[in-house]
Amino acid sequence: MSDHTSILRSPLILGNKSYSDVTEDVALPLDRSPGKEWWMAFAVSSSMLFLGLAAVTYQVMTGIGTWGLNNTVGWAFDITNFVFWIGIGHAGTLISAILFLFRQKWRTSVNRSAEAMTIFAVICAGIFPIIHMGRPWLAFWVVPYPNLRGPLWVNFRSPLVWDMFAIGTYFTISLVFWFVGLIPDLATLRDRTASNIKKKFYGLLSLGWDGSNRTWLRYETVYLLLAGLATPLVVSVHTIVSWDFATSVIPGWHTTIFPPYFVAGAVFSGFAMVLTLMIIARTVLHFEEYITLHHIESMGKIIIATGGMVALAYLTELFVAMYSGNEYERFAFINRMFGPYAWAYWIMVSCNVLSPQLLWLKKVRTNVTLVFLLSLAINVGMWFERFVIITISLTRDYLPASWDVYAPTLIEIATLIGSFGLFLTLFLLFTRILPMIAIGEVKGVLSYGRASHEAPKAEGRYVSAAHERVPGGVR
Amino acid sequence: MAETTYRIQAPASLPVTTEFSPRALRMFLLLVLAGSAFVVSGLALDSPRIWPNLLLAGFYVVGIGLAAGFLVAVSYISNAGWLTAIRRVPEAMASNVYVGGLWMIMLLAGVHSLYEWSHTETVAADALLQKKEFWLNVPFFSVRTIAYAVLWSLFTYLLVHTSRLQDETGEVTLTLRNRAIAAVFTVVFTLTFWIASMDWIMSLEPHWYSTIFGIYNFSGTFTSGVAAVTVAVIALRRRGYLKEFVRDDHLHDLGKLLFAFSTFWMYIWFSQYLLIWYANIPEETAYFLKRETAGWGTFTILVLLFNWVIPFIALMPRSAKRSEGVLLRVSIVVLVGHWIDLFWMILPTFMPGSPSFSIWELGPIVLAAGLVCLVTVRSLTRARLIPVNDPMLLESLTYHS
Repeated sequence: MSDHTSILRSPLILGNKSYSDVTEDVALPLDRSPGKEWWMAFAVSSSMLFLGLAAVTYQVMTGIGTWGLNNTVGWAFDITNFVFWIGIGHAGTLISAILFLFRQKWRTSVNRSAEAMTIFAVICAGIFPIIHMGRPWLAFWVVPYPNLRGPLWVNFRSPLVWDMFAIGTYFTISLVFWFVGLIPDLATLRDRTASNIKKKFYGLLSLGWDGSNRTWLRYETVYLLLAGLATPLVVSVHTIVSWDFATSVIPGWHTTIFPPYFVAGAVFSGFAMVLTLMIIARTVLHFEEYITLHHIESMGKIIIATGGMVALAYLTELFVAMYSGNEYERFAFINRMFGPYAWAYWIMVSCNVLSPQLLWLKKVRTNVTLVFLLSLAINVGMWFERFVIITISLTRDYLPASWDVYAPTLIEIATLIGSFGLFLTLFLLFTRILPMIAIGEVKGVLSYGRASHEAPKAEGRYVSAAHERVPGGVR
Repeated sequence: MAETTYRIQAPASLPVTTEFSPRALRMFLLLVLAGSAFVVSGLALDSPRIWPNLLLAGFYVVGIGLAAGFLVAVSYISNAGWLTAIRRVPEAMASNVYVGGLWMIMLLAGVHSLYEWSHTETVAADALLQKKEFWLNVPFFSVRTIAYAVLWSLFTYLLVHTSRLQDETGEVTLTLRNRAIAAVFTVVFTLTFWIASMDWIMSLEPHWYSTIFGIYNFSGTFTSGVAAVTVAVIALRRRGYLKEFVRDDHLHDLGKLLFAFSTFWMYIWFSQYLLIWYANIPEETAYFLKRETAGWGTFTILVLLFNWVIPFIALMPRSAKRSEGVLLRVSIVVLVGHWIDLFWMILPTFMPGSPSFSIWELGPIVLAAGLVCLVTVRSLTRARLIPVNDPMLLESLTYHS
């Protein structure tokens, strides 16, 4: 926060909104009955969800044999999906916690939806390890507690157990963080709704919020503390996911760069998903004045940065495999690039390394259609990254006699489609029940950059600057 | 704001140049001379011992410069307003890249004393080193070292030069130009630094490899750079130079950075250790085994203590990050810690068994400390202490952390 705003800052919210405009603009879609587009989207996403439910039911009743796994490839599609979904969630926490600590005010327009996305993505991710257990009704066995099964304890040295803790904590903190952020907005909805049922519903959830200075003060303290607590979680969750692989001795899995590399990749893929969803939302719900080109540009820049880190990690792995002189390491990478699954590797490289480079151009960053297409490409690329790491490394291990191929079965593909169905269904329901944009937070940045945008301030304690306009410059 | 540019004229009330007492400069010069004398006599008397220490100190100096330059670059590309009021300090500190780069180039003279792989007879007897010869050979190594130094110096110069130019012309477009330079520098820096740290440090133990090594060195280097900037800012403020401009809010943000990156360093250190410990592959564990035996084991605890435990605990309270005294002490701890960290990475190859400290360790330290102070202070006098025409300045002067 500063008393002055630089002339380089542009307004975050366009259209000279007043406070009540913000409330109306965000809350109005919740009052209207959903349009035809929403119902069509809901029909598609819930059909996908039911397809997935059918597939999972069949798989649980029949067994893991319905998947394409074999003796050599014990982890493939399911764990790929698991890592993919966990990664998607990371952008939400980064926006809500880390960007909050960094005082990035533009986060206010997108944080609510991004956090919702986090929670839904973690739910989707959680399904895969549970169904992979084969007997999901015994899933509670991963929780260590004194029991009558022997007692039978989990192996505390196993990263899979750490994972259970990491993801459990992550989900809890994300949910609490999201809910705390929602409280003032829920109170706004409570106060403006005419329906008695809605008043009860929002009233109950807003925990008696009265909007006084004291409540705001407490709210902001809690929010800051939660941001501080959530920040290490952004890093720890995907770090531990990466340990699931890196603690092994499998070439292509065991490499020390995995923790930061996975975290960067998670944020990269998460931002791509935020862009995909936000671009649709701003168009359909006419939020262009809240989620402006400036927001899309900023997210584009984060994609360049995190994509760059991912590219650097690819390069490091490749270089060190060559440098190490270790023939198994070298083979793992030659196999990735030129082996039977080379197409997957090259899809990964073109989507994750080459395509984001286009975002260096301002013309591309401010072209919504192009950014949307790029975000889709990155989503695809990051799914393939996990497939490349997990599956290809397993198909050809130390003993050529046990080399095998892996292909997903229809059940596995249906499960993946089902997870997308679950994600989209939850997101569509969210757009109907809760405000998609943080009303209270956006009001706080409403005037940001407005004054300096129109006329640069000339007064100041130390600098009494005289400004003159020079034509022909750039932004 | 697409069609217009603002030109801001420099007000006369701001300090024009910074002058330092010749006594301070003389003291730094004396340090440099004393350090050089140590180093020269070390080269004559105990060259196997002095070379690794020269490598350590050279890497330290170039790292301080790079970290300061990287801090400036990141502040430009992320549109960070807060740093503007104190940006001249990291800008001046970035000049250490020239000196440090030159130092690293001069170290090429000691390549045979430092690197096992540079001896043809060793390589001839070692199958693994033969496989690495495409990368680890003296001509290519020298070309790379020179390339790093030249590239880093070029971009540091461009960044600092453009920033200083704005003092005179007041063109806002210069901020935009620097933003572009900073973006390219960030890419160049990340691409070269990790590989430079592998070249200069990791290849001391040429059989060992770790993919995280570059990031590990980045984390340590950047943390020490932030600490060095903090020390300089506080020292200047105490002598009244930046007094009116640097408020506790600036210190607070520097403290947050220090806290965050010290923790980041720990995260990377632990990631490397855990994965190597867990997989337990002899080729990889050799590195840590050497550092866990006898005296080096105790030394490892110092590495963790200085680089993370102390800064983490000391900087946890908000009041500590806003306190000049605490921040200064913690920054010095981190600067010492970075030396310990590098010593821990470099010296076990040359000092198997236990670490020891002699005048041959002290010499390069004195030289490096004198050089960093001298270069930074001289560079500070070359420009205004405040980037008076920076469009972000007003924001920086009035912000609350």
